[in-house]
Amino acid sequence: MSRIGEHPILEYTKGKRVSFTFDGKVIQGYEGESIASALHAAGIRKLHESEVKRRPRGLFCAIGNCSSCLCRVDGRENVRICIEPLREGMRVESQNSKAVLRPADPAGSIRQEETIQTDVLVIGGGPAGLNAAIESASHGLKVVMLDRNSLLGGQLNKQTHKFFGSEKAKAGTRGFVIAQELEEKLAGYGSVDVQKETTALGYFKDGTVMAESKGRVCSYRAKATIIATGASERTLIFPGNDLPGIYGAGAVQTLMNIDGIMPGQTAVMVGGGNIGLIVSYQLLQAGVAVAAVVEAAPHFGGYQVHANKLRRAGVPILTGHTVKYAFGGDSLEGVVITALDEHFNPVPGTEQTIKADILCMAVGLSPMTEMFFQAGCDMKFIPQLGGYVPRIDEYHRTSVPGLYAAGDAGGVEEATSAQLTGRIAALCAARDLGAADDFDREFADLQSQLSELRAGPLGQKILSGLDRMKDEGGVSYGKF
Amino acid sequence: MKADAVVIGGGIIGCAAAYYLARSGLRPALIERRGIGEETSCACDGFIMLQTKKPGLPLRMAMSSARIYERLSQELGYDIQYRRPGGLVLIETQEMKEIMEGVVDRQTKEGMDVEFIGNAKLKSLEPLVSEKIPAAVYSPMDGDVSPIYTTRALAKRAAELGCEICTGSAVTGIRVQDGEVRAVVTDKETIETGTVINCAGVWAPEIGEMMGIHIPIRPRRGHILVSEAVAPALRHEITDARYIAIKHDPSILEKATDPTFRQGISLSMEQTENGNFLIGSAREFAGFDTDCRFDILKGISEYSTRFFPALRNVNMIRSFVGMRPYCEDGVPIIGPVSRVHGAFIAAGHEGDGIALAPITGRTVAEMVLGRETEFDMTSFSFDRFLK
Repeated sequence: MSRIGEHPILEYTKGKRVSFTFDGKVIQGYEGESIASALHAAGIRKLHESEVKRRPRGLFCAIGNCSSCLCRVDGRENVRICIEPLREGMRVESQNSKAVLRPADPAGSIRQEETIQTDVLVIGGGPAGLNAAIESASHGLKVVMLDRNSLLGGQLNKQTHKFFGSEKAKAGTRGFVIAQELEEKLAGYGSVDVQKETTALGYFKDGTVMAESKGRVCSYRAKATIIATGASERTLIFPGNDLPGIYGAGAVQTLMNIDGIMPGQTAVMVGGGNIGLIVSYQLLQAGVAVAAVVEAAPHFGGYQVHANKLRRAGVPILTGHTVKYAFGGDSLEGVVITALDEHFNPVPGTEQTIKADILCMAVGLSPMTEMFFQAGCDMKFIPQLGGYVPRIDEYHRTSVPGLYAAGDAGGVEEATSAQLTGRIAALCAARDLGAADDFDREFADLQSQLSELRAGPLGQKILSGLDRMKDEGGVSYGKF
Repeated sequence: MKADAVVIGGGIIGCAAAYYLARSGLRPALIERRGIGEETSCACDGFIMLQTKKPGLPLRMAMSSARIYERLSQELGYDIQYRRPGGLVLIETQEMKEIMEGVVDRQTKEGMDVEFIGNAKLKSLEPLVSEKIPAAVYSPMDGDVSPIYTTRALAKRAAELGCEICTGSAVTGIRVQDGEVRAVVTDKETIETGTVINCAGVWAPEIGEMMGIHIPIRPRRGHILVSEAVAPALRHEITDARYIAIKHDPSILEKATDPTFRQGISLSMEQTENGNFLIGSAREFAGFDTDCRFDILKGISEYSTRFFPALRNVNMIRSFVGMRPYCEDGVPIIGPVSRVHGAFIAAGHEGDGIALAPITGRTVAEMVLGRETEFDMTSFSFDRFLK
């Protein structure tokens, strides 16, 4: 593995060069990139061993969602090194067993910080959260926005392709540029307090949100709270699916498009939806060979235009196929794929072995709903929206008064609709706080943009999911 | 359907009652509105702590129960993760030391193995305890168990012995004729029976109303914080003197000046087999509200680090509350309802339900069968509220 020299779209701006150690070995990286990225650039993919079966473990999600990359950093255990910025002299160690409790000074105490009061609290600084914060501020409201990363923009930062959809929603602009523009716009409002590297941990009935920021506990109390925590990547169940080198598609994007690191030499992509097709093309742009795109369904689900780009580059899209197992030692060496019949059963004798050091999973997303569950929102299982989602009304209000849902957290869709639902949730919150003067006109405008976006064939799935939201039946989870 | 006895409530008390009834050769039925062990019995720690029991009948029953626990995994045929590492009651102040002296004196008279130890001995037993904690009371008799495994194992074994387990069934009425129990009516069916045992915990009063009796039990909420799993670091079951003081005399809270004390916060702590710390506790009356409170979680965090400063280096990953069935005079109700022939109550154990479950189940089964019980149960009888 190495760093990407030249990229057709991206220029990488790096911090200063720093040294750190991994299990005693001195390694070079760049200040501010994630520790995991720096290790990847140095060819280190096995980060630790699993506690019971001693299986090698590596990076999977690269956005702090899973626990696959936990290491010990400067003596601190259970650090998610995929979101921990690298600094000079860091001591990083594999953590192959449970954390050992470090003694602390008995004279110390937990610092009790005062609760920060605000009008609107936005949790998550991705496309939905940024838009929600901007919209709230535009109505003269005081806003606090929390994001657990050091870089705002969420998944927009890795999107190097130009967006589709309406021009009002930034069609024709590349994702990372949209993130920069939104952040600049947000910075223009003096009433917005952005807290980076801050993870929201819980919502309490009195409206208090507890968060952790760089090792200290803080709390916020808002009149309205908008949860825009996004989604996390799914994986598939097959033997060897935990080998280092098997990543969520988003993780591969993080490595390539944010940190400028070659994730490997040869990739197999699982999933022929838009994410699978787009990330396959981004792999080619970064100089990685894509051996195949494997899709279980008889047709790939993404846009034709993305598939055509891959086909022109000679990448086979194998529909009706899935992964049988993955193999390798300390990291992935190859995968065995198999054809599926019309009932999705493997067809014996159709196995093929593909040598690859990257297996990229683009098999769908699940909404990050922990905060909604914890807050006691009425939840509903809607497969079209990615699984459990909070039951919301047309104003994006959940069943808990003062709590709103925006973006993928409220139902998996895509980045442009996340921007719109972020604004809608914030507009409706502003109205509920008595701060939206021209609500009807703006609401109608945003709704019509959203309807236009959902008019295509992929929007049908979302619309049928939203229909199920309204129907009272079905599987529901909530307070008894 | 017909049953020899109907147990209402699938928590640890109801499952224990069902198990002992089935073991005695009866064919009971157990009715549970949700699933087995889904309410109070899964929202607690696993203490089988003798030191926290009031001297007298509660302590004597707890000691008997602990003896049953020793062999319960074997008896049921399921591992319920029973351990007996011993327990410590940590003492922070002189005031608490004086309270504990009285408690230890009475416990010793009941035959308990307890001793005062100083900081040096305490540090050798639990190296992570703060140097600032001057003393503790130690007993090798304290242990713990997995409450969920125990509840489920009791239910499974009861079913194997012929008990009908009806989950997802809510009791809607109890048919009483000429002062005798005739049937239990659920939202699914009517079960003919001459015996009903109300083990519905915090909902026991609701069942009582169906027979026209008032049961003075209400939910008392307890918070528990759960930490990430770490390597074994805590060897004993831990509480502090304040926990015992509040439990034995709730009026002490009104006199307190320390803000965490006023909130009813005290220490209870164990490390589970997987390595997570369970840290409590707080006691408050909040009806059936099961939301966690931020100020209480902060209070528990602050208070527990006074005893274990190293907890400041641990991430908390979860918190939950449980509704403990608190009976008006602080001890459970175990016995017949004299006004309704065939009706029994086994409820109101508050935080002692896990520790007392086996002995409660066995005692109530003995009562149903008209056999002699191990203890004189007069002070736990329902009739005490009729005077």
